[in-house]
Amino acid sequence: MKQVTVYSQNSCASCVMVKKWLAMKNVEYKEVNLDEEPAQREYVQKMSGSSTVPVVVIEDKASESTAISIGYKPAQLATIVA
Amino acid sequence: MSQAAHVIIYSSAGNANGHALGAFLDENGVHYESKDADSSEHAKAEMQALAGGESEMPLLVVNSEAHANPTHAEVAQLLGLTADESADNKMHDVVMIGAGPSALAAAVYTTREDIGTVLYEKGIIGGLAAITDWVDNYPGFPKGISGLELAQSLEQQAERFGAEIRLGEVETITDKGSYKLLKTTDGNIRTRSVLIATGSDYKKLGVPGEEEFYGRGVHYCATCDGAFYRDKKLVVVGGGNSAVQEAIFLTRFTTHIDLLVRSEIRASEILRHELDKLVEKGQITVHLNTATDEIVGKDNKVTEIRAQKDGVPTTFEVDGAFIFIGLLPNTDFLKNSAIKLDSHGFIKTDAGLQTTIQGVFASGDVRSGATMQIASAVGEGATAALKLREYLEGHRK
Repeated sequence: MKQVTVYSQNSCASCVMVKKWLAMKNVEYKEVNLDEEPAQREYVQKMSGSSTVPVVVIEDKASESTAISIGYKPAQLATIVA
Repeated sequence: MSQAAHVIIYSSAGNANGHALGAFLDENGVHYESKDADSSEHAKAEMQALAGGESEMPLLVVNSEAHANPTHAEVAQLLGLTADESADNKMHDVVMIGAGPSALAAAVYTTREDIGTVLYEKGIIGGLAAITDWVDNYPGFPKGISGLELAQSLEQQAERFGAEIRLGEVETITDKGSYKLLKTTDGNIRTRSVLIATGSDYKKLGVPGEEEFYGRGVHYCATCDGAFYRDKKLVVVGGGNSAVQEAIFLTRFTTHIDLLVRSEIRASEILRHELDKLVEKGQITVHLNTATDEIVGKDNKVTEIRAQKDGVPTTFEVDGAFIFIGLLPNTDFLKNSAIKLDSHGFIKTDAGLQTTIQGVFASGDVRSGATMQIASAVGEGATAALKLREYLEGHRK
């Protein structure tokens, strides 16, 4: 089973699109808003190696692997969320 | 199929096969005349003359050759309709490529006229407007409005009247005369008319390090990424409205911004005034005649920007760079199409916003001669919608 977490912030159009895309594909996800939880920002930067949002983290418990998608990239999301 | 084929259906009001045949031709974008042989003696006489006597209805006549009650497969073969199966089995009225302000405005108009409207958007709904921090020059908002809120309002308005926004990409457009075949990430779709409103995208500097550090210190969207630079130092590259506006926005996070301008500031008077205030406070330093040469970093982060200021090598030690140096039209997908572009890649249109393919229109930033403002993109979208309506009315049977 895959656990999807979206790290987002307010006024982020790409974040809106990622959530829209996930909803369109009926993928459940947990959202962490970095404006509401600023303490998570450094963690996200270190984990993704990037200073941008959205960051989508997909943890596959079965294979114990983690995939990350940065920004709004539908083609990449389609591959790693499948 | 020859685009000049003359097609007539002789049938009657109660003939179900006749109605089905008409619907099949509509679905495939075939123009035809419809004649009622029950209510018109003249039509009946014509039909009999063409059929060589009494005939079963419907009688399909293609270039004077009569075919009594043909199957759809026979009709498809006669008219060469086999090649373009569409993924959704529909003939759309209009497909709009892009869902930025121009297409969304157009969609409000077309859907209110019950013109079936589908929009394809491969990126962000609302386009560049959606990622603009604040919009003060869009009429109707005396206190201004956030770009994202404006974009979402346009989206809601278009959807309210029935526009369907699909998240996907149109890869090619092929002119089939009475309809257009679009190859999309959903498969092929057919449509009677098209509006291309794909807008524009950020120009890149094209310097070493730019691609390597993209998202890791090199950015093109201040609203997206500015918050990661709280209490840090930044370079902003550019001298137009976008660069100055976004630099002003970024000062809410940064300790200092160096604004690198290749020649001189070209921003509006109001923005220059705001910029001057921040320069006086020491929050922004403006460097004119400064060309960016290289973006350098270490451990996956940007550490300095190397530039030439008045021809003298100058290094700026910063934590990141935001680049706003202009826009390029999103027309790569049209390179092998029959749609003519100008020398900068913008779509050429006539006074009615029609491109070099009949039934394909363009509006907004992607159009040659556009003024690159949200207000004008919206205005062109509304104009294009009226032109689309005229085109569809003129090309219905």
